[in-house]
Amino acid sequence: MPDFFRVLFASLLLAGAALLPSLALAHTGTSVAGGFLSGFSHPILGWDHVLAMVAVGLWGAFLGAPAMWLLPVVFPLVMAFGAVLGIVGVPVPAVETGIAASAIVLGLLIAFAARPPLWIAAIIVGAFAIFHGHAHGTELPDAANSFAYAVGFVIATGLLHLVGIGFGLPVKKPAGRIAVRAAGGIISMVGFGFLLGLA
Amino acid sequence: MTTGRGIALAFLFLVASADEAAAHSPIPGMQGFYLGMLHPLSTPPQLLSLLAAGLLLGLRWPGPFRYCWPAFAVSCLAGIALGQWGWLRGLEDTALLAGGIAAAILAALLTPKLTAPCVAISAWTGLFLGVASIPDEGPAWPVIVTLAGSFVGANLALVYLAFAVGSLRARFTAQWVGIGLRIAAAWIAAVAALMLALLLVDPTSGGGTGM
Repeated sequence: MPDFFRVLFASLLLAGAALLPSLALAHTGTSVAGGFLSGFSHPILGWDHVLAMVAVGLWGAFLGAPAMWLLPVVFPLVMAFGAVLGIVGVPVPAVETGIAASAIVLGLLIAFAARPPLWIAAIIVGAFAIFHGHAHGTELPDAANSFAYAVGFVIATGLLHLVGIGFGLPVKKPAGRIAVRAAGGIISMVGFGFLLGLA
Repeated sequence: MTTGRGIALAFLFLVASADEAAAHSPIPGMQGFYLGMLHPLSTPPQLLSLLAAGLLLGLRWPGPFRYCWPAFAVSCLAGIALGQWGWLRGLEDTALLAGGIAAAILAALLTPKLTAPCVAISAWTGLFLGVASIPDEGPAWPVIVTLAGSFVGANLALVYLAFAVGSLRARFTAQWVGIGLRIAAAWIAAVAALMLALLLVDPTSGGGTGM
């Protein structure tokens, strides 16, 4: 099987597996497993989160190494900072707008094949990570087992980045490059839909 | 009977008989030692700080490890002594999470030439793991045995983690292995930051684990 199809197959498998925990949503009780599944499903069941997380991975793959790996390192670190703001009650204005804007901006950057310096890419991704982290953080204290919830949502976020990287790897081929840029355009349009309340 | 089948049968026999053998501690009082050994892995702050320190040292293996482990071990003993006298008690979870965040961020960023910060973080982690190991009040001998187990467990956990990460990097030289470990470090820093925030917002939450 060529590398392209192998990567695509693995990405689809990962995406499918990531959606499975929704079946266990009935169990959000006090157990570690319940906390983990609750945290794991939080980024995955919010389509605005999914789009932005996948877009981070996709853009990283588009930019190539070292951005492909640096952005998934930066994102959880800054996301945790945003979550801490949410936990301690520091208000962040327009969180939902920021989350929708992250999909729009990251999608447009992919669609227009933007290649900023690495540090600017890290700042852009990090700035949006604050909104996503704040949204997760405000719900965290309500979770019965917050440790398991935090582990679950950090891992789910990382896996969504990997899905984006997996989809973005074919960018080295001409057809893959067109497909990735088209995916960026779609992500951006759906982001607009979230912003306008249409999606 | 081939040698392979013989080994398989012997293994099956061992597995089947393990339940009975485990019911009796081989040496009187050793159960406390075993419990002590597992104690450093029993709460999120201890576990996260050990994981972070292990990754930090493993990613630079063997480099600063020759200084960091002695610093960790001596500080762990000091922490046990201070904790027994009642000093630093109540601060251990906050301190371990803060140290874990620092260690995990340093591991994720993989900044070079960091022997002094690595030694400081190892000493910090060891100190508060020692404080966190203090068991409930009780007769002297069981307390000593349990503390000895905690000391051995914490040191073994750090050495094994650092060695495992270092060996992994030496065995698999592909770039993605090191990057994957740094991503894991970033995740550990993120989880530790969340736990620390929860602990500071609600000190009775035990970092949100109901401890």
